[in-house]
Amino acid sequence: MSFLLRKLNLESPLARREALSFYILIAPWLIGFLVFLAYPMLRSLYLSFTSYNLLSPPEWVGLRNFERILSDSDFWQSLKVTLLYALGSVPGGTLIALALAMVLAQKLRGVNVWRTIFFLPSILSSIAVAVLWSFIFRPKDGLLNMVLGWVGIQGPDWLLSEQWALPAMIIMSWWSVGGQIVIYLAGLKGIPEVLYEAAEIDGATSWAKFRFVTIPMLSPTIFFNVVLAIIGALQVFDVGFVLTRGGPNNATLFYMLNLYQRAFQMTQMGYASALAWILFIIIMGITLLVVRSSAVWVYYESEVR
Amino acid sequence: MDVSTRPPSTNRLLSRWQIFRTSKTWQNTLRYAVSYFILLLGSAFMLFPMLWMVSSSFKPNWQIFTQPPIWIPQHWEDVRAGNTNKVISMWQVTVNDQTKKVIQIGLRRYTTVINAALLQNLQTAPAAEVSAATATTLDGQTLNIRQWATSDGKTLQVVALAKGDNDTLVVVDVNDLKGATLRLPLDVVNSGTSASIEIGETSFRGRDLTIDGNTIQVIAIGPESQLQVVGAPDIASSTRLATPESLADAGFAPVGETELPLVTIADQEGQYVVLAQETWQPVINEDEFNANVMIVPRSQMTEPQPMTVNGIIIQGSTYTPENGTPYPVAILISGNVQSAVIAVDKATTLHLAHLGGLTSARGSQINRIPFRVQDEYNDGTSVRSVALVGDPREMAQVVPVSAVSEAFDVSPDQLQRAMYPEIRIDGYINALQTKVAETRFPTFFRNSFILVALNTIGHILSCIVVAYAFARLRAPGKNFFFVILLGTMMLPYPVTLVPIYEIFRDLKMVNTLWPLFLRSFFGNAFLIFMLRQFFSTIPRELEEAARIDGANVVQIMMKIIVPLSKPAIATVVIFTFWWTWNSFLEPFIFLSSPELFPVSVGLNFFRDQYSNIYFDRLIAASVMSMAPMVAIFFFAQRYFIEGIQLTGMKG
Repeated sequence: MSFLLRKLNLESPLARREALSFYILIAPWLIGFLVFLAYPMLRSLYLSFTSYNLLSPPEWVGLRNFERILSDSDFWQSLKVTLLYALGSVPGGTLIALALAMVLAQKLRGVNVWRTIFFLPSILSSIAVAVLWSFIFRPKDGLLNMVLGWVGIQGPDWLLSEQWALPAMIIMSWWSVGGQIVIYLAGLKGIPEVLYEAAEIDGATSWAKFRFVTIPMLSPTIFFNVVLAIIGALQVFDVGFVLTRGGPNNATLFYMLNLYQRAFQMTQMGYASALAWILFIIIMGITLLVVRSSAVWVYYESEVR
Repeated sequence: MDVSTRPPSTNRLLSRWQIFRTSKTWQNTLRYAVSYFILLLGSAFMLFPMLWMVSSSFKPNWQIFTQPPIWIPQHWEDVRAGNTNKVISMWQVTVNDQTKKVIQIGLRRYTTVINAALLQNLQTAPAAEVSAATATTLDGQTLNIRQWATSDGKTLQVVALAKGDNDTLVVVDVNDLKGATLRLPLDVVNSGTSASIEIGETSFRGRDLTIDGNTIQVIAIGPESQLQVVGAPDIASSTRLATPESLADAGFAPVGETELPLVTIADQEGQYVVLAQETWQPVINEDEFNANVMIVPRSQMTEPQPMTVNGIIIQGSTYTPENGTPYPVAILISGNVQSAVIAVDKATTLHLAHLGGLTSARGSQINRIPFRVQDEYNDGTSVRSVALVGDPREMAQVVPVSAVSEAFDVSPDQLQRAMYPEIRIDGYINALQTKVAETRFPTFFRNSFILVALNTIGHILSCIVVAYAFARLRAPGKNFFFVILLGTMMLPYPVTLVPIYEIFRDLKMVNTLWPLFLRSFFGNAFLIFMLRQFFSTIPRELEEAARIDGANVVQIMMKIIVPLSKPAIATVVIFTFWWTWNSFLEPFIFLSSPELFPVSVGLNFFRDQYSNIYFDRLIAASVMSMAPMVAIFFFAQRYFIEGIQLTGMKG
């Protein structure tokens, strides 16, 4: 016992009291974590091997849910749609956010005003934004096709067209990159001026400074945000649900939409839990992939090269 | 590449280019050009939809999707007819590069006629060789021209005048018609006397017309077209009402640059132009009605007969009160046993109101005799309540010819409604009153605010203590739990969605607000992390003094940490507001009673029901649902930005 106390640095009564206070104080979070996170995770893992309709008790079916999922065309369609969405919204959004942050980081007049303008769309509720963009995407008289018409382009039917509904939602996602702009802006301001001065003395051009100072110094921030954006994009639900209900012809059947339909419209809770765990594994896998690749393109100051 | 191996001239050029390329001026110019271009594109993308939305929320429904678009909310411009409650639409027309505001005062139909005396070279064409007619304007004359492919291979442009024998048409070549055609108002042509005109062997139905004192014979060949006669808007102030029976036709006369059919009014001097004939309602101001109306038995009245009061013909009678002298009364509402009447000399406000200018009907009663009260809009701003009296009737609105200025004809497609910018809040008012799934928008707002309040309380209570423990207290296992805390921030929510639904179902909390706020009392990883970071920056020395004084952990938190952490706590409040206000999936799953819906779910229902009908209401509802968020954003942008930076920058 005394060995354990020494090992845990709890020999003095004061230290013991402090440790006790710690656990009392974090109790709310710990209970919440156990009840609303740890237990649900294990429960859904269990449910994913059962057939469960919320009314009768779960019935163990082994791997049957996963077998059914892998042979379900809706699953593959939803996976394709979601990955394509992530593939469009994440790099596009990152580029737009980076470009705008880069511009704002220069000593322009009214940076705060610009920042407000760019940030504002990202705080709005996805439903209100969806309502707005459903009007903008109207084929005949919507704002977007009208603007395209000014430059002589006949715009597509957007949300009504199987081919263009997903790109429309990707464009919509770019509208809400304000949060990323703010983060990149802060990251850019955090780059020491000394590095730029040193580069200037070496005769570096603007491009060279951008390529060899800005990008490496900002890469940890970019990396972190790309990871967050991927996780967010793979779990997108509101847009597809409100604007198209997955249509036309499942062209915008996002993964979460498919999961929602299975869980809360067909009450196939076991099947839905299996879907959730597959998504969880996919997200973990992609995140791991990005983290692994980060060794190549993310530069940490403490690193020795 | 080794520079010294190049010829000297290339080196010089290259080094010049190098100097230019690296010069400050060039670099700055380039940088600013690129910067502002990106800014312009970015703000167009970010701001344009927003501005469109705000502007559209102040438009009436029909102005939201128009071709070409109406950017700023507009209101139709009207002009009032005399001293009445009738509004006349104002139009805009461009004549000789001058834009004028006008009102419509009549229609004119025109047709093309041939002066029979100048008609020559009639030909007979087989009907099969002649195409259908299209109205074409040649040398300023509009004609129904047909193509005649003759048997000898020529194509002639002809006008058909009549049907001949054996399936043929009597035609004339357009070249032979030059100078023989006139474009005349149809009413002028029709006013001529019918005549049969013989040309060669064919007889045509034509008319004898007197033009400029000469009588000519004409044949109408069409096409007919319609032109709008318009005049200066000040005509409207001279309009007066006349009963249709009192009007008498006075023929056509030149008015301004055109001709109009005129009328005379019985017992009135001068000639008039009829603007319109519409339904008007005799009314009397409600105050006067209430003060002077009498309910009298029919036995004390003489038989009703028409009488004129204030120039208006309504039913009247002579009323004999008990022990009094008879006097004339106007019958306002007539019943079988008794009638509501008013003494003629007390009916000073009896007037005719345009039926279209009366709105918001209310019923009322006097001695069980029902009468109707409506609001009369007399001039855009002042509104008065009037009681309806007697039957509505057709009235002609006329203006004296002498008052008509600047009358001329325009083609109807040249006319555009005159408008002026006006902000309308009808969309907002209607959106608040529209039923959405058996409830209304204010309920959704109430629910959202309740949830925001509960979640805020929950987060503040739980996150501060947990964050303080992580920031200050030492305990075995702390780092382990901190790593778990950070890990949960990235956990995908779908994994726990189904079991959490199950938990709340077992707690009998589905379709209550509980699932939407209960968990905030157990902390939130992101907010705990943010508060911990903030608490760590507070110097420990501040706490030492209190600890020596014997204060316990809770006292130290309340007395020292919380007062110093107001900005961080503000961030907690704002983020809680943000997430609660915008969350959609969870309330959508947990709630089924509309009276519990928060704004996000309510707006989704609103969209489902009305997205193709009430654009203005839907957009106004969206703007309203954004408004609290935007307001908070403008007041507390700093906290948003600090909080966002904290999540996005790996510490």
